Amino acid sequence: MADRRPGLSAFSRNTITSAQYASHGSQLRSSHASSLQTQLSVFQSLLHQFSVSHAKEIRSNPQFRNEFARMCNAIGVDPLLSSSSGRRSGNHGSEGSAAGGSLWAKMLGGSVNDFYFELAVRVVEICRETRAENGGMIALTEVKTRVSKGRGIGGSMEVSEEDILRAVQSLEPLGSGFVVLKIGSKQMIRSVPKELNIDQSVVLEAMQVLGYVAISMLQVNLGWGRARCVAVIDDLISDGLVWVDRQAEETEYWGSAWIGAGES
Amino acid sequence: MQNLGDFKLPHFFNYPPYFTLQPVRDTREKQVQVWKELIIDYCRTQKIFVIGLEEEFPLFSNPVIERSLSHEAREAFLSALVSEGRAEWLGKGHRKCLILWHHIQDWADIILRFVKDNGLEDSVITVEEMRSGVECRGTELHGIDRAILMRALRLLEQKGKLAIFKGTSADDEGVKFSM
Repeated sequence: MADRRPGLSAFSRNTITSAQYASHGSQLRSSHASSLQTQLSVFQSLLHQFSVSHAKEIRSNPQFRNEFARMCNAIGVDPLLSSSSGRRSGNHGSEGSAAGGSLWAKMLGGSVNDFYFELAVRVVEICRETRAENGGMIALTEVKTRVSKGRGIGGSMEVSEEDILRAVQSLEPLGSGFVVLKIGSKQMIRSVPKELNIDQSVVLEAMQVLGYVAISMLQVNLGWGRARCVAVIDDLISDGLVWVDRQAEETEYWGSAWIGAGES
Repeated sequence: MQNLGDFKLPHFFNYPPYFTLQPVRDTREKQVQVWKELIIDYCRTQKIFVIGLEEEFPLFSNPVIERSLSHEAREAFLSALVSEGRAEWLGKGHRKCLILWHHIQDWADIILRFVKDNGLEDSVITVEEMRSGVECRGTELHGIDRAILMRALRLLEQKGKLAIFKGTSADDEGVKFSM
């Protein structure tokens, strides 16, 4: 890097005052700021062009979308931000970010937003269709399977789990009541307002091991009294989250959230 | 996925709880719905017209998971089909069920199509030929339950499309089309 200081041999140190340094400094800042502005707007339009010319990849390739989303988030842009929401995720505190956010979305707009909008609609449909069987709670993996089978609007979509999570998150500002929660190791999408208490969550988590539990299993593994187990199970059954199997030696209770019922 | 012969069984058939009548109303409704669809699909593809509740009907049990439908469950699912006009109880008591995977009106339409396709508009044919003769091979009429066929024919008779008459042999009746 070349030495940018003015040739010091030409001046004596005494003549370079702090005021001069200060004014030089602010000159640098403003010229940097304007070049930064230029760079940003070049980048903005490149990003837009990129999104348009790669619309097909954005639609068809989940890995591509993940990378695209990561890139956007890294520079403080939420690729799905709707222009009506003032909320921003991944805010890196850049200036003028609130207005900039919705501008980004408009630019990236088109393909990316359409894709996630379609996906969100599909997710809502799936939750609605399966609500009677699973009480309004469905495993993320199950949603992904159904989206890939493609019976709804737009046919089948190749999506990743992250895509689905992004689509569900984009529903939040609409007050849709769709929430992602974790039961044990599995991510679930809940589409009914009923919240689970801790006991219920624990039992649902226990069901993940074998797909079902029996009262005695709960008593032994959780150390709960029988009455407590029965009460929790009864709640889960009434909420439609659990199905009953009376043909086992001891009645078994099956978690419904990941049963792919009725669809082969 | 399990198969019953060449019939692909749905996912739920392998889940034990589906073989227990569910106590919660919404859950039960969904359960009944998927079972109804399965029964109709299976009967249509396998050309089964009558189900006996106490008989060994393949859908009533899944030996792989050691589960089977109780009598109450079988009756619940079949009754649901009867309520929506897709089945009928035969005789007294709910012991045998006639499955109408085509409505009688649909069967009547199929007969009309069959007549046109084979140029039988002014012909005579026996009832037995309609369900087992050469012309009906490869059509849906082949192997149709005789009682269902008669009902469809009577429906068409009422509309003046044909006349049913007694044949020469003791069992068989004939049909003269006038279309």
